[in-house]
Amino acid sequence: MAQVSDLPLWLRAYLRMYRWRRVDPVPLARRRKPVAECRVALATTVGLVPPGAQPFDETVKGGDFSYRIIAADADVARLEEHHRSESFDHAGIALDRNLAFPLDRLRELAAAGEIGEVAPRHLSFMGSITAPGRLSTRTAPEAARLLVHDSVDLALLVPV
Amino acid sequence: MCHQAVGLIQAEIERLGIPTASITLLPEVTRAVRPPRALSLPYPLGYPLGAPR
Repeated sequence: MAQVSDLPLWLRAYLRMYRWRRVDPVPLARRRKPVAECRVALATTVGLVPPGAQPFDETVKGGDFSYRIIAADADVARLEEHHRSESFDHAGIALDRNLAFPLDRLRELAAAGEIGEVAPRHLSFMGSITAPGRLSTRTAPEAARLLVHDSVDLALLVPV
Repeated sequence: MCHQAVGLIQAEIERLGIPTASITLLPEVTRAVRPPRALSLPYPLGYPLGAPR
């Protein structure tokens, strides 16, 4: 298991002063149907971008709080990683994007009948956001509404 | 920072009535952020779902 004490010295020094943003209390949503009938969406913060789409902008102060939409039929191997952080090993994701965006695995679960279906759209953020106010108030709610529009029943989120 | 971002995004999805679950590799951070649900996995940063295929 990873621990904060394993992080590079420069990052530990930064985090010593950092105040994590605590989630505002939210009522737990209830699943309305069996998992085997659910439409499932993914959200990753590894900064994946479809080929030809705008990369995440490393110059945005406080971190790029935008997101990209990844279609259900995307070729996972062709998604480009644009995470700006040097605090983790990028080699695994370079070999297999499913480590942080398991769309191929989700397709397998749908084919096996373990879930109902793969949602038509999935979310990709670049999670190195030190000033998350605009993420919380603008882009995260907007992206969540997109999943509601798509009648998503369950969402799995994967950081890196 | 990724764990904080995931928690904040997750909360907005859950707030609109969609049940969510997230992975965490850094439970210390996740406990501070307090997302609706999280599953702690014993993998290093950069490998949230284990080894590449």
